[in-house]
Amino acid sequence: MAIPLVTLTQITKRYGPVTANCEVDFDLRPGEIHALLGENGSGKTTLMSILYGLTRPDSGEIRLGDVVHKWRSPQDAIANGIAMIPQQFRLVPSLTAAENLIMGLKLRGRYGDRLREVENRLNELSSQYGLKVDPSVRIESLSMGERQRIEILRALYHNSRIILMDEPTSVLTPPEVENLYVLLSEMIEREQRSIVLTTHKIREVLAISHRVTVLRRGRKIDTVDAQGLTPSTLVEMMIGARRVATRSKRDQRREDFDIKNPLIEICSLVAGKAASGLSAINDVCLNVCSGEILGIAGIEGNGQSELEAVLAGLLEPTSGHVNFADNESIAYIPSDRNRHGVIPSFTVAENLLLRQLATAPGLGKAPIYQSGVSKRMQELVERYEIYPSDPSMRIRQLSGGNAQKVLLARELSRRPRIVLAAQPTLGLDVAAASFVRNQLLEQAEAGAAIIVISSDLDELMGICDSVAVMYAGEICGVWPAQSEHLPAIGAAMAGLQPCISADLSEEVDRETK
Amino acid sequence: MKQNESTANRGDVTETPKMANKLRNIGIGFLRVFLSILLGLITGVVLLLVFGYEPIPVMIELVRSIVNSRVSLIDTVLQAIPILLISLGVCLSYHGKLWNIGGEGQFYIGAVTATTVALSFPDLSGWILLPVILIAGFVGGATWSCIAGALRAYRNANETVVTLMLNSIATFIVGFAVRVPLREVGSPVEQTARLSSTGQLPRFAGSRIHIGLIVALVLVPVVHYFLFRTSAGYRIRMVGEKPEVSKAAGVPTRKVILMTFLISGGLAGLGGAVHVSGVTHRLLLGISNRFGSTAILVALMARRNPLLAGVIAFVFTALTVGGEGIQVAFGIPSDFIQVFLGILLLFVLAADEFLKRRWEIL
Repeated sequence: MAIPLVTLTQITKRYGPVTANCEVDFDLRPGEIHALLGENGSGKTTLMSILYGLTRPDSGEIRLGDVVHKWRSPQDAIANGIAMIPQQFRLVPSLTAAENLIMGLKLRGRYGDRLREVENRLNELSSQYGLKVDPSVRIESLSMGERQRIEILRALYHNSRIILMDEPTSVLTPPEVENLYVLLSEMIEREQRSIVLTTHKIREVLAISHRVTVLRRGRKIDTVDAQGLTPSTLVEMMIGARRVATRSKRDQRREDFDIKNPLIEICSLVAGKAASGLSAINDVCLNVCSGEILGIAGIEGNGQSELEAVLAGLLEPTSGHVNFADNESIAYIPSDRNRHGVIPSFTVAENLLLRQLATAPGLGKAPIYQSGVSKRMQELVERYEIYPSDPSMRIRQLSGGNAQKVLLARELSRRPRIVLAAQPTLGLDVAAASFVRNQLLEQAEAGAAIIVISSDLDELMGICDSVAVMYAGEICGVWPAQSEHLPAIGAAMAGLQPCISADLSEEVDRETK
Repeated sequence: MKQNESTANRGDVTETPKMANKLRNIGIGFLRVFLSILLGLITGVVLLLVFGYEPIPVMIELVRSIVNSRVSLIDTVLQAIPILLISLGVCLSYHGKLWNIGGEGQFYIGAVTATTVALSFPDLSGWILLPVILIAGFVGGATWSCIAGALRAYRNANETVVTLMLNSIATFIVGFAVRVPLREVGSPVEQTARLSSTGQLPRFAGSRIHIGLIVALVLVPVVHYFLFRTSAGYRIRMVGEKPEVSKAAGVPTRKVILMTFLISGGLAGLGGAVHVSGVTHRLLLGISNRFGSTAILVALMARRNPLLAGVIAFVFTALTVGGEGIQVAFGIPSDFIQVFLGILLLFVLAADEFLKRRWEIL
């Protein structure tokens, strides 16, 4: 085997009391796709930004070939043929691809000439790799997949030998993911470029990578060849002793629920404005009973986020209404955690007590200082497996998964009768996601009525009793969450399902009863 | 076995003793103040040299003119009282990320309402009149500030612009008040009549320092407690940090914004009442020696912490008063001190930003 292109030895990086990387070794061979696999907060992104010069390690060394390098900034890394494609793209939406690219270049001569030159070169590269993007179109009119391809073009323009990709598939639709795989393997095979990608999706690792390095809590577990790996070994490596608990769904049928007394009633709801000028939500009717989990599926942008906002009381409906059986007992797990869920600069304990702080008598001692509270907070933190298990940590010091657990602990520990969860496991690793799902199942067991809005159909099929599909602002069908209905649900999500189906008329019958 | 391993990892990776962390943060805090004062001083020296003054004698004179004279010490305290009161309000509203820069206007309106009340009931006993005057000042400032508060809460108008404009309007209102409705009968000067003796705050024996000092000093820990220990204070900070999260959690955000402005302006108005009733004993033009802007400097320098503001208010006022001393001795404009304080603040804010990035603290 060829000598490694890049070697990282004994990399350690601490952020205050949290160790992001602890003595991690890593090497990259020419012409390979090397996956960094790990849960949220396992240190994969940190390791990548150290390699790219964004973060300086506390100790350890970076070697390219035989030469030891100390990056002072990403400029050094770029000059040595390293490119990074971050999760959030660094593109100015109002500029074209070529204009975006030219900003970082030191070029002499007239701007217009240079711009045309860059554009031509990009066109060349684009057709060479079959990227099908036009560098003279403004970024804002491009899809996420196209934006990613612009970022890849930027790496190709700099002729980078090493391309780092942080969660490359998290923003892509399934066909875009396929395209990306093809592109990546082409870049590898044709030109011996090397790619490092971070991910927590096991399927992805097995599909395209040659080797896998698994990180857990900042430490390297192992580097293995992807050939012949099974998903279960990888899961085992990722989460260690904790098993992925996939509780079997309760085998309950709609008829078992107390359908005469729904806890959530949504009646001919119309709300929001879509880009097309029509209402974002159009005439939506849904009922959810005690103990029932209703999933809302659909391709992003079909009115789910507006539905979430209306249910959470953040958006006034244009007409129609939403009735909750108990307005005081609603748990809300928002899709945008940092915007609607937690206050990152507050501590875990303060975030756990947010609702009490919001309503306690103004001049009284804040709930957080009342006696016995700190013990209760400690218990909550431990019960919900929040790590680090210290209620005085600030949320922004926690990983995404643990912040989500804080949110869950606050919302679900009140034993709510109604739960609204939007994208509850988005961006979470396997263990945290299954923890979240189990919590939702437990709440249903305890009699809560639950709406889960998710773009992850597998997740909905796994935990819901029935799945409603939103398309273009309308509910175009409700199906029991059983695998035999998957083709119909998929067709509905794609907009192929006529809006009245046999199941829906059943649903209508049920509602009129 | 694996279970053991993972618990062991949890232990050694994260549990740095809290105490050490705290000490480190305090150390960095001191470093920040020390470094920024040093840099501020260097800049001050350079400025003095540029304008052709000798830095060392100027600085000696600055300190001497503060410490050596009983008059300037008393002046410092008298001016620090309203500055401290205004800056307590500023600290409060800045915790709500409400950039109220209308302390000056709220101070003036508080002074107007307090004077009006005092002149209307000159014969009341001091036990009743004085509290009424202070309340009138608070209400005046609060009302004035609520204009900006309501516009912000219900119409999302930019509070910085609104409070700034309200400042000019307030100055005109004072001008109008001392010229027409409240003008002392037969006085050649534009001023109101003198407050009756029951409407004047009692003084400490043998000095001009009045009990407004006690009021301000008592309010320092009160505001601190309110902000960090009560639920209402928490709500102000919640709305400041994440208005949408707060709303989703059930905070009536508009009411909180309005209340923040109310208290913040009320404290400034109280400053106006205390200053009229304790120092000038009548309303006249220009009773504020840029108290509003100094109060903002104080609050920012104290990083919005009321306890720190209690100390810094006196230090900054002393420097301002000393600035008048060097104006007399060297002919350096007293504005120089304001420039110096502004530069100092810039360094402090820059140091904060630097520390935040470098060590990810604060």
